Amino acid sequence: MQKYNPLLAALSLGALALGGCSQSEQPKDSSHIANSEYPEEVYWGDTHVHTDNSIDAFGFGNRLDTEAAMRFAKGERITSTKGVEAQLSQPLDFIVIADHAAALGATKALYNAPRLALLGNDFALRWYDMMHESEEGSLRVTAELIDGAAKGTLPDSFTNQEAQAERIGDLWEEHGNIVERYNEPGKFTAFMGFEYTPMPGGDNLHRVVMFRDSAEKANSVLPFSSQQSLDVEDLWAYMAAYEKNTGGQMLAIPHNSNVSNGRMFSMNKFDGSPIDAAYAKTRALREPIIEATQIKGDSETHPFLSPNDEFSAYGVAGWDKANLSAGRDMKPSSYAGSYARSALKRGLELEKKIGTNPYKFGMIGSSDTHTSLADVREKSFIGKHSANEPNVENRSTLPQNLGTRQGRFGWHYLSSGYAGVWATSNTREAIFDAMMRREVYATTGPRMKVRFFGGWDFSADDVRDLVSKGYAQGVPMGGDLTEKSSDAPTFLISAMMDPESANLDRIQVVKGWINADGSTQEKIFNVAWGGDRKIGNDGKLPAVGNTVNLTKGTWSNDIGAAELMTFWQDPEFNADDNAFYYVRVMEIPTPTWPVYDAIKYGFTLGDDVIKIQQERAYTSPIWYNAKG
Amino acid sequence: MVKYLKEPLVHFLAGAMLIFAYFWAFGPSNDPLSYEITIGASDIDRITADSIRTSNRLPTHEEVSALIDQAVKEEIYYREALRLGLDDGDAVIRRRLANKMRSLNSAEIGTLNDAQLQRFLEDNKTKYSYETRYAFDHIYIGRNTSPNQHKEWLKGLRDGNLNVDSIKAPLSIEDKQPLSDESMIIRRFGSSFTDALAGLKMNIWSGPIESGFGQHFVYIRERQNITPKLNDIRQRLSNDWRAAQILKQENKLFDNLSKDYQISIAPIK
Repeated sequence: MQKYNPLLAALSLGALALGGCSQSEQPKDSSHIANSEYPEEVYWGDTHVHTDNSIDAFGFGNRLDTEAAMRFAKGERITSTKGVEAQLSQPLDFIVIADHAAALGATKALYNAPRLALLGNDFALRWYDMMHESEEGSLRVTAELIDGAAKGTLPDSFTNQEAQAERIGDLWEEHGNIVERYNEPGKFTAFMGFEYTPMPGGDNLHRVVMFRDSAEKANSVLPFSSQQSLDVEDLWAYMAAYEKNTGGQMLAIPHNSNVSNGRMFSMNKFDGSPIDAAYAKTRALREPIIEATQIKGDSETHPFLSPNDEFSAYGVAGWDKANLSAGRDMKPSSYAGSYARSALKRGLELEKKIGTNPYKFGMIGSSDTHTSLADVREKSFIGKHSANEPNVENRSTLPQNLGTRQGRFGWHYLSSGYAGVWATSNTREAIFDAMMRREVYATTGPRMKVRFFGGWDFSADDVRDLVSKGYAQGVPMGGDLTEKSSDAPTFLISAMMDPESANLDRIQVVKGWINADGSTQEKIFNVAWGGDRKIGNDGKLPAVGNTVNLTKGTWSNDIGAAELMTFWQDPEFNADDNAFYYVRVMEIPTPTWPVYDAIKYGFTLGDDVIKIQQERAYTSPIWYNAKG
Repeated sequence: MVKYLKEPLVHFLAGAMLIFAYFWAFGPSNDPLSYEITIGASDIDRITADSIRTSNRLPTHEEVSALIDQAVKEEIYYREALRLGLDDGDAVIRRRLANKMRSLNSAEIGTLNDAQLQRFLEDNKTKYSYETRYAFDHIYIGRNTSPNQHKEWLKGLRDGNLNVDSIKAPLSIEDKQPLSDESMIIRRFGSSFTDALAGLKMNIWSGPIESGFGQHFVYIRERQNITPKLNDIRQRLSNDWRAAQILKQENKLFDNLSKDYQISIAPIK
């Protein structure tokens, strides 16, 4: 017998109010858009934007919807929830709105429900009143939501997917209509997507999930929620079923491995059993790319894992002590499962053991903004969420605890991440396919143009004709090289600065490999740099210098270089050892966002606040596979 | 009943205020402050339906009668609470009602046909005719050159007796930019460079102008000011119109409401 649940009734009432005002349009396909022969253009996007349909984003105060997110990404001027006039100087080329599938739209529906319907549900009433009472109350509700999700103590009406199906179905369709209205093949690509947010014990195992297809096709399923399963294998099964039933295609993008407590890139499956070949194969297929950098920190590597890497501390502060909800402390012994570089090494280990590499992923960045506004320039950092928008109060020093425990502060947020995609046109198909073949890279914000090709016969002369030689005689980032002889692979690499950002310091090649005894190693090679510097006896390239003026928020491009290009051959190659190579491009030092806040509002920043950083890009690796 | 008694009075009132808001907006206009209470047939139907939703069965005659008594009691309490001004200064009630008013504004927004879109385009010509296309040559000279050199080189370029290769710095952007939208030029050179193009003369070497990369001499070969055709921007237009419509509706509602108010605000310190 079905029991009347006032909260459910309220939520579905809310859904009624949300639905029903959409005007569906015929989806426009991209058949009229020509594809270039090879990727000529890098397309910039954010695959990770939350709107007011995300339970936490709404709770944090966000009142901007999908439409606002789309318009902002396309370059329109939008007023943020807290009144910041925001506009990109360069529009984005694509966007994935990735609202949390779990309890999609629930806080908005709860907030907009008639209170009467909640009488008798003390739990919902309490939240309802807190949300209406004050912004602080709303933040508290959100903290409790995240905590409750981590501990599994949320009420049934927030966790039972079936009970929410009607509300979520309406929202998902409405969302699809807006996405379809803004998707303009050749000009701007809007993807259907959502976030799958499992967080057992507060350990972050989140994935952005995106569709290659029209909203109509994506609407044939509801977003898969962590409330249905915490085990990512069930997500993959959902993806496989969708592909089988519709002929469509999906991919999943793990993110914030840095707060996963070593579980994102574990050697084991969710149930604790060791990863086997079937799991590895499915994972590599379903998760071809990861998000290596975003507002909640950087996941490339950590000083504990890469002690010889002088740039490894970027985006680590505040994020390496406790998991997402801060419910569990994280020990350094867990880090190998939390960062991308070590995961790539683990992939080689597993491949040797079980024959397949589950961690054969490319890298992108994205914001994970909960403000609906995908702007990651330091100078105009809008915030992690709406309660964190620029204000006369010094947000960089305020506690920013996503759960209910203390320990993180505003300045720990990075104004980071975009995805660069080398695609043959600005269409869903071309961009999605480029992600599948991992021809993508991450940046922490600046749109530097990075090319990376591997092959067997490149020579120094080929740098002049880098792109056509690269494609004709080699593979681009994300590709594979298979043993040809005992000769070391050769690489062509170029990086051009973002003309709206800073000069480049250097290009590095990060190599990871596996020895005959099964142990893995990593090494960083400086391969091109700006200015008159020489590699020292310690093998290190001296720092580029620092021109940052903290009182003005400026720097000078007198150091570094606007563009760097090079040919490189691995000088320490062993044909028997499987390896990966990826490129890291470093900008010269520039101010972080708290510096711009301090200048604008006249704050003083504490000594602990990081004020100067080097923004960077990480390409997808190229793998070397010995014949074995 | 017990559940309701557990509620603080203020909660009780919030619920009542909602009913008020509902009927104020959608229902017959009963004055909540009158001393007349009428429980009509439709009210009894609603009370009965509510009871069915809670208990999953038809209420007995006695139960309905008790529920009506409750409703009358609630109505009296509610009106007296309003007379006492108990809603005043209660943030929950205020916000709830304000939010409710805002959501009254969700009227359906239709779509425009091509003729209407064309008119929207013409009405907003300034916004949609800004698209300028340029074709130009540029010579990148890096960052570390002096104004004196610039003068000399510009003269040489204009006179046609300067060896371009002697001043060029390496940068892998084509020297010749084919006729391109501003958005493409911004993508290549950044926005400050693109803005600077507007001030340059055609068919003559100018500059240097600055991009993020450094400085460039520029020779504009072609400049087109485009008023985009409806076909090229139909999707954008209809989205823009829609967004404008939503804003307009919201402002209209608010203007209607606020026009009867006299608002005075002390200066901000």
